[in-house]
Amino acid sequence: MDKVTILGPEHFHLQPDAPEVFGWLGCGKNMPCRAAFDAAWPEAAAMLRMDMLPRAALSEHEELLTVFLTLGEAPENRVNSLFAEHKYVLASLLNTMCDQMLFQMNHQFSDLLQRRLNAEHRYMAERQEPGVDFSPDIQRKRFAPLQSAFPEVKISSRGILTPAKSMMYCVTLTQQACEQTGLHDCSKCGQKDCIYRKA
Amino acid sequence: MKDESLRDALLRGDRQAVARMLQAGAPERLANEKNALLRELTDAHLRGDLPFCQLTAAAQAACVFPLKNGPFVACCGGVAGNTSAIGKNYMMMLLRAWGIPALDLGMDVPAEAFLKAIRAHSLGYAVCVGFSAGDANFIRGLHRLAAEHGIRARFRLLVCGASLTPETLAALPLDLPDNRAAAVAEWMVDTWTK
Repeated sequence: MDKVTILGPEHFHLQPDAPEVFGWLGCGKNMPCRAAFDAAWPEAAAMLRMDMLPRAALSEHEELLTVFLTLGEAPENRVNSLFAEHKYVLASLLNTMCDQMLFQMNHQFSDLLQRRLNAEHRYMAERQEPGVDFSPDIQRKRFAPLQSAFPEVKISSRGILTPAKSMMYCVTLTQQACEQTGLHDCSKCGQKDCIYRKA
Repeated sequence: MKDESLRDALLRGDRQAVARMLQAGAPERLANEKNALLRELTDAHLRGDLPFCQLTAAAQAACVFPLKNGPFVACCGGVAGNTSAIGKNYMMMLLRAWGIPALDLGMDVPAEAFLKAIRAHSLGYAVCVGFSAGDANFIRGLHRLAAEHGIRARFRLLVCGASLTPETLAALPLDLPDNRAAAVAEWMVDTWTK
């Protein structure tokens, strides 16, 4: 039987960071469009606060952990509505903010997990990503223990999560002291032009 | 008060300013100016000299220009298995900015649904929005299915957003071996108006 842990919004302290978001967008201070993005920031931040419901889940099966993080359905729905209304600057900004929140969640969750594991003399070894390290079929099997806690979550035939502002990965464990943090390794991904790429 | 140029208003993403200029008259001249600026921004973006956010702002202001009355000329949808709408949203944004009437097929769209839309609306373009190298199989499948139904010559097949190498793109039965949204939209304008 898998052991499942669910973490609610109270475990995460998420705060949009303008320099990082504008950096990802490539929106420099001297660009003509910058004023429009600056003007949209307060509205996007308010929408984000209203819409996001950060939750995380962890299932443990022998020496394999499955991690699921989500902001819920509302942020994605809001972004899609804004695009449909041709409010592209606001939509683009909110979309990038949402991604930043997911990355912040990932860091905070990883810290929590690392502390908990280390207290048990267990350590993270390898992070495994769907679409890179395992197939959609395996992804669905690994997500199955979490499905009842997240009935709205779907995994497409190609392994894409709905809600889109979600993240899933697995971590293998070792009892040998290890410095691995369980964070994403960009060098393993084929999306070379990703604005978030670090490698 | 100094007169504001359309160029400045578009670059700032200022819809209200563009609307005021359109109300003042000369919509055709303004539309030509708008398209010239979109081309300049697109070319700079494709050269790697301009971030996408500047195109996003200009597209927002460009959407004040009304679409010409008439039938859809293109359809755009996320390929089967792609349930994330962001790539499709950006593609639709660019098509709207250029004034190309495009039918939004949504996400997770099977090849059969692309063909159905092409037939029902006599569309000249199908833009498949993907996300991974696996999308090459979808493109081949759609091409084959269209050929079997005898309609492949009626439309141009395009892809946007998938992680495909230039070699893979060149080997696919696409009408443009480029998967960048800005390049796809500009090419559609060039071929549509000819």
